[in-house]
Amino acid sequence: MATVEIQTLEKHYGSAHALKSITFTVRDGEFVVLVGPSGCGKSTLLRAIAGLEDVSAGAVRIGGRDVTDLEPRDRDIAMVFQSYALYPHMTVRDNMAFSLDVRRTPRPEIDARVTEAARILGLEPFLDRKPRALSGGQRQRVAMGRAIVRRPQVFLFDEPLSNLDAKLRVQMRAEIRGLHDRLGATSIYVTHDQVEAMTMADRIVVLEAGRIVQSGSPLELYGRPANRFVAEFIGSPSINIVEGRVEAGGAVALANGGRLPAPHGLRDGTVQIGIRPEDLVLDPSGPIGGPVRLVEHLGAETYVLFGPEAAPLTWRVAGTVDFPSGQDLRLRPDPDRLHVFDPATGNRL
Amino acid sequence: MIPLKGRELWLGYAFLAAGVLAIVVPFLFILATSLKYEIAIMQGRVIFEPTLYNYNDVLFGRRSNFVRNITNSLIVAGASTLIVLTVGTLAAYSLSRLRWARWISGAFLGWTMLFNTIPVLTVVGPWYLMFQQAGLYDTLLGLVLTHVAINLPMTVWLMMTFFGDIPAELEEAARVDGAGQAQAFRRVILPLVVPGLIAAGVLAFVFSWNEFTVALNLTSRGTATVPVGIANFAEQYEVQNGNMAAASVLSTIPALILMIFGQRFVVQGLTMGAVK
Repeated sequence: MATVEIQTLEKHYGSAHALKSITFTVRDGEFVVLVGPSGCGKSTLLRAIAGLEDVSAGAVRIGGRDVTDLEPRDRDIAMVFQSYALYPHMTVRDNMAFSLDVRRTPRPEIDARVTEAARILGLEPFLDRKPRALSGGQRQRVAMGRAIVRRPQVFLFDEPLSNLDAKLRVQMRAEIRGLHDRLGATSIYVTHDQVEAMTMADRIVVLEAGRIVQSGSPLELYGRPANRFVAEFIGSPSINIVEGRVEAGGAVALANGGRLPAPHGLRDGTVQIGIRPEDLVLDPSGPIGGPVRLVEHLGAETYVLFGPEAAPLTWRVAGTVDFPSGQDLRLRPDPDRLHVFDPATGNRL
Repeated sequence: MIPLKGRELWLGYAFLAAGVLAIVVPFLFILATSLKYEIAIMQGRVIFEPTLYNYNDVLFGRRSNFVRNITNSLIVAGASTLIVLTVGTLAAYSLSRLRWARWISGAFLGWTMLFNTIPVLTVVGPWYLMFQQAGLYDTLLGLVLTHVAINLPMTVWLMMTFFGDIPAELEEAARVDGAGQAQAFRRVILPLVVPGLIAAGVLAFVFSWNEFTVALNLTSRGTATVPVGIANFAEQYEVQNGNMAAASVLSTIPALILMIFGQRFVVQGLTMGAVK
């Protein structure tokens, strides 16, 4: 396995600037997830690492070797595509053997590696089937198998779970992560699903409009988002944002008249306060509140939507609670877990 | 699909029957004529004693050149189909997959479309003059080249629809897996367009087999193809109706076999992209 170094990577499509000075390093054996909304450039970045997309400037190094101008086949990578991209005219066995076959690997070794990969992925009964005779989950496994028989330096995953149903997605993400650990692989995984990112990654790289906005462990990103975009993107349900004004007396006056203790070092002016839904507690004299709009029961927890109808806030409560619609709620945020953002730049203050 | 009921259904059947009859009746007429003696044909007999005399005369008669015509047609149709498929498939792949400047692919496809709309007779004259100078007049090679030129546009269009239907990710997967461009084309893309190759091949072969205008003008007795051979049964002072009918029936056999074999692919090819 190997490190992957991305240095000041740029990609232009005509006048569109898809990747803007992207720099990061994936350590040997690390599982890095590139995450961001549609059109943020995460798939373009992955394809640039794979060599499927030419870059306008910058460099890609795999295992210390500059591969920027190399063909995909010369980069020693394997990729799992969103659509799986299985060869429909080949059997599962031939699909998995293809990469070894084109590299003229001796037949006994091909057979051994395919058998081993099929055993790991539970594909042994399906080796002689064509992809059309497999379920979505089995196809996904074949795509994984095709990648692991290669024993590449780096695994690239382009939203590989997005075509699966919710239950299978949960199962497969555990399998992919388990496989990564077992193979000691270096993996770069693209998704727009922040739950996948949080559960699978050693490190998450968040992209917005072709730029890296933050890189860190899942809990770092959750607990200390660098800006409002990351705060809103990471976490489900999304973080609550309330407008406020820092007062001279060390408090933040909220738009609804409530007051919060201001975190240290804040200068006078307007701010945006981010409060995670689980960082609220019921308090009759709490500064935040409003009428209950909707109560969503998930069994293990309950989401209570309250406040202004146009932009309600969310309170996440463990267990089952119930409130009649319209009841006035008063809540107090945990003062140590407030996130304060500059309304102009969105950056953390 | 709109289901037909009652009167609409019967009307539909009537149109369908009329269409079938318009094709089948002339064919049956020719078939019947081919089994009659010349005298029965001249008398316009409906009831007659069938004979294979005309077939025997066409295939083995001393005056007949029909076996030679069939051989010529097989060579011309086979060779032109092979060349058209090779060139057309590579051109279609290149146009649909490689990143050509828009104006290049646009100009090429526009030209092929224009070429398809020009009556063949317009180019036969220039071809005749050019081929005489180049020593290609009255050669099978010359005829093969003209059939390639005529069939290529349709083949390129048809194959482009098949290539367009293959997800780009398959080729990318092959490239990541270690295949070069040529290897990815040969091992992954080409096997997936076999139905397209069959469809285009059948259409090109049948066209070449039936082509009359160019063959009539660019060949003579030794290089004449089947349609020209059939026309030659009508001479200035004698029309050999029986022989002509027998030759016509025989000429339909290869095309018929190919169409029966390739019909599914041809229909798929011509309607591809129309519905998802």
